[in-house]
Amino acid sequence: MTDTGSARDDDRQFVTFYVGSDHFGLPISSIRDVFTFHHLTRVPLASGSVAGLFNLRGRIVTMLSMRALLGQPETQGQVENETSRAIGIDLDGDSYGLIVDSMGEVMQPADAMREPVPGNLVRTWGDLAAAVYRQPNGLMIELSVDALLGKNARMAA
Amino acid sequence: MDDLLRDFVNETNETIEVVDSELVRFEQDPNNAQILAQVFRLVHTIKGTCGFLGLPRLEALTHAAESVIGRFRDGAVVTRDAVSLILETIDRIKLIMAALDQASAEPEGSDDDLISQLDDLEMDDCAADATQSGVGEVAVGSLTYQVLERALKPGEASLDELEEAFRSTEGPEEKARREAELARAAAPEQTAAPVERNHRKHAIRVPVERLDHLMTMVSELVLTRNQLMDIARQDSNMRFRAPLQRLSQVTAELQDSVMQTRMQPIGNGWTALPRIVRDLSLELDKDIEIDMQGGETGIDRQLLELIKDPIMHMIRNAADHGIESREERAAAGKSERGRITLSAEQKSGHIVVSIADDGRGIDFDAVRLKAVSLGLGTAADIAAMSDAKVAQFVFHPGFSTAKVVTNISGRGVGMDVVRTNIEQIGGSFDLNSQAGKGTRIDVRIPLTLAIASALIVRAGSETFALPQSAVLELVRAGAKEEARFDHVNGIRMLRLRERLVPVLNLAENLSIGMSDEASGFIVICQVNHIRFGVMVDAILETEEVVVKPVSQQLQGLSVFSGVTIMGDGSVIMILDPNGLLLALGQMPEAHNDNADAHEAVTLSNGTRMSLLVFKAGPGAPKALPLALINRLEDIAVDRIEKVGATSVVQYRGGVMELKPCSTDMLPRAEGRQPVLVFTQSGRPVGVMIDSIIDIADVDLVLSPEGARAGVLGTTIINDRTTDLLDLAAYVPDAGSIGNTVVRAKPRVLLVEPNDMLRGILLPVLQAAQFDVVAVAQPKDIRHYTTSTHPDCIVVNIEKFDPADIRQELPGNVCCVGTASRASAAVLEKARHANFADVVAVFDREGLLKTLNAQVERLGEAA
Repeated sequence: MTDTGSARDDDRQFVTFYVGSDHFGLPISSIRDVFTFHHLTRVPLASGSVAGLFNLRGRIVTMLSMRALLGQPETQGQVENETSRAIGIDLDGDSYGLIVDSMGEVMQPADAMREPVPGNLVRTWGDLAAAVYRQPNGLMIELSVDALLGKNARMAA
Repeated sequence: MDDLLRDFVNETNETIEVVDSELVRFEQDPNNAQILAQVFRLVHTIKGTCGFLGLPRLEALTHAAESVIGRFRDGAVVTRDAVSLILETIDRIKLIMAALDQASAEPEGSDDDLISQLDDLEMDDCAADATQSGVGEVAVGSLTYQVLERALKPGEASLDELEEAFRSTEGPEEKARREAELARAAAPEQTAAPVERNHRKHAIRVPVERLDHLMTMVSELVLTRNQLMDIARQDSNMRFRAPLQRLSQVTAELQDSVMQTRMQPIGNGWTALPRIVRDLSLELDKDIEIDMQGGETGIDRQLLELIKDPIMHMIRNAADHGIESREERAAAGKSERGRITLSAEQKSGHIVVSIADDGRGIDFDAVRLKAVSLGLGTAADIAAMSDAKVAQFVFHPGFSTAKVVTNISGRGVGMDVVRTNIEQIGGSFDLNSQAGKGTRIDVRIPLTLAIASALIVRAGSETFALPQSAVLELVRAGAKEEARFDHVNGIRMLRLRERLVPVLNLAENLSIGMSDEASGFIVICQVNHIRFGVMVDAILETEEVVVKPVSQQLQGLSVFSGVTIMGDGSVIMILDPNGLLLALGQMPEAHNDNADAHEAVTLSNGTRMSLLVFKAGPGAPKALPLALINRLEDIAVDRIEKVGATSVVQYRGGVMELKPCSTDMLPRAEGRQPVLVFTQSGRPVGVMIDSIIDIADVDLVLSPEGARAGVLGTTIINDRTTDLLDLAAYVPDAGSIGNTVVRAKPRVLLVEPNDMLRGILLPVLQAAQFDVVAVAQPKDIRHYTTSTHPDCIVVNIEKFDPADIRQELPGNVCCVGTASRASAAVLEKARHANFADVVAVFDREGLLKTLNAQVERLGEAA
């Protein structure tokens, strides 16, 4: 819907967040919104990455735990602590919320900083990571939404 | 895609469907000029628009088709091949339309094959025309009787058809006049065509999604209105009442209106069917017609989309498997033409769509065989099932008893998908079939999808909703007689009014805790005639909820069918009864209502079967095929009575004899006696046992050692040698002693003309557990004795002569006479007529004693 110029800009604009001490980002075009949440409804028998269901202004959002998807240990009270947020994603008409520990900035890293995912990260996260960006204070890891949701589906199976 | 093209695609698709079904109608009624004119007009319109929009392929095809139709209009012979060719052309047009829809442009390709055929046809028709007119000129004035001495070849028309066509064709002057008229009408007609269609006057097109969204919003509005009304009811603040009342009215009307916008006549989804049935008839070489009724019944658009395919599938099945070939039908005395009837009607909030055929019906034995071969049950289980239960197998995935898989059906993938689709929208199936007569499937679907009535329950500190449509009743768990738990092989069973119902502990099943058996509630649900219970902690209320689907990521959880938002904003999961039933797993059929123990069970080695393993006396455990057991009962010892040496118990309105399972077994003296109940010739028989050990699924390997009276042999179950009992040895044994003791109720025929006396005696006899029929006149006796075979006749022998009575009776039926005064003469007559006894008519005790004695004597004699 946008011309190629701004499309490129969109692709390189990231909403970033922290899970544990790691810094991640998702392309801004794939995100619907960021919201706070509370009172999740448990979904019995769902896979461990499904934190529950949330009523967001009349929309039912399936909340997924990024920690679980990334294979990191859940912290006590992780789900509803003060800084945690949910990143809203729509896929095929369903609404999902990715629960993260805290939000980072919206960034537009320089193309030159982009690098392929190093081998050791591939071992940990497979295709969840699409690329990494070198930053002054560390790496920002670009994640793939499709891969995240695909992994959630696999975890349920 | 640009709007003009989109409009064209939508409209033309609709038009094409009409053309399709009209052509089929025309084929059956070739003299109907009206249908033909309409078809011509429609095709002509499409051609015009194609030209206007620059769609060369479509234009060429429609032009060629139009020419042929034009020839028909001019009186050419209508052959089946011609119609088939035109239908083929329509199909090609549909293909191109589909591609057009996708790509906004006509696909590459040539239609020369069809066009040349169509052109040839047109040329032939011209030739036929010429010869026809030649014949016509010669034959004016007199008709010669002509007969063709051979069978018609394909593509030929009979002389009668020709005659008809000729007569209905207009002459040249008429034709010229009509064409002139058409030319005048054509111009305004083309633009008028859209308005002409019946259902669409002054209509606009609205994207379906917009209507869906509207529907959802209105549903939410309705629920919010309900909540407000609730609150208002409790709150005594009068100010809100009037506006709320108004709001309520308006909301109700709004809901109704929006529902109406989505309503379509169900017939709209049926337009393709006549063509399909026609094609099927040709392909299968059968004569099939389809009769559609109730097409004007309104149905929600969304529902219509959902059931179109299932209906099509069922019609295909009916044509393929139901309707027999011409020869078969003739041999069976039926008309050569098979009929499929499709009907729809609205009934109490549901739409019932029926597909019936007058074909050969379902071959239940073939279904049984197939079910066994698919491993859906053991031969014994399945043999014991009623036809209604067997019919359910038809819906099983991969099930098809078709010997030949045609490309129409027989692949066995259809019916289970059909059923799942229907059930997912809250619908249900009913299948009725009579061998040789036909089959009928009724599909019930609810009128609205969005809002469902749900029972809100709590289990394991979470709240859930259960669709009210699946709920039969609620039972409070506890130690009461009515509702008690038994554990059979680790599966919880609830004894509910003499039926065993398997129970699922919801919290446990969902791994969120465990409901307390002693203090919970059980929701009795029913899915597909199977009852089961769901144990929960608490039952909160019934609410109308808006059903929202679960996200794709959660689709795999079969126990949930959706999600909803409650009035307080909380989200709760909606349980799926089908999924819950699945979670219960393979339940042994602990109650086979129609099992008759007398039917032989072939215990061939290697048969896989379910055995009930139990203790009866010291020594090896015993086993019996579970399929033969009707019920597992626990009977209070103080209900067991002794009649002579036999133990009996009053059971389900009758008297059932109890036998100990083995001679070295001691029946319980107090508490409750476990009993296995079988059915023998429709009558229940009880076998007392010590206790149930287990239910085992085994591949039966029977060793003949240990075989003795009542024991077929031994087998190893769970590492223990187990006696496999011979049921045949038990049941006739139990049946022969005191046939009448065991029989439900002795039957008595009372013959008493005096109304008052009859009125007195009848209840007395009934209270004494006799099955009584009372008549006033001897002439009625014969009628009753032949139909009901009474055990004993009680007759007023003062009013009627015993000899006369005896004459009316078959054989030597036991007779007891009543009289107000037992004079010697009367007694003599009675004795002479072989009456068993004479009793004073007011002597109740005496009468009962005599009757009982007679009945017993009868039993001994048997």
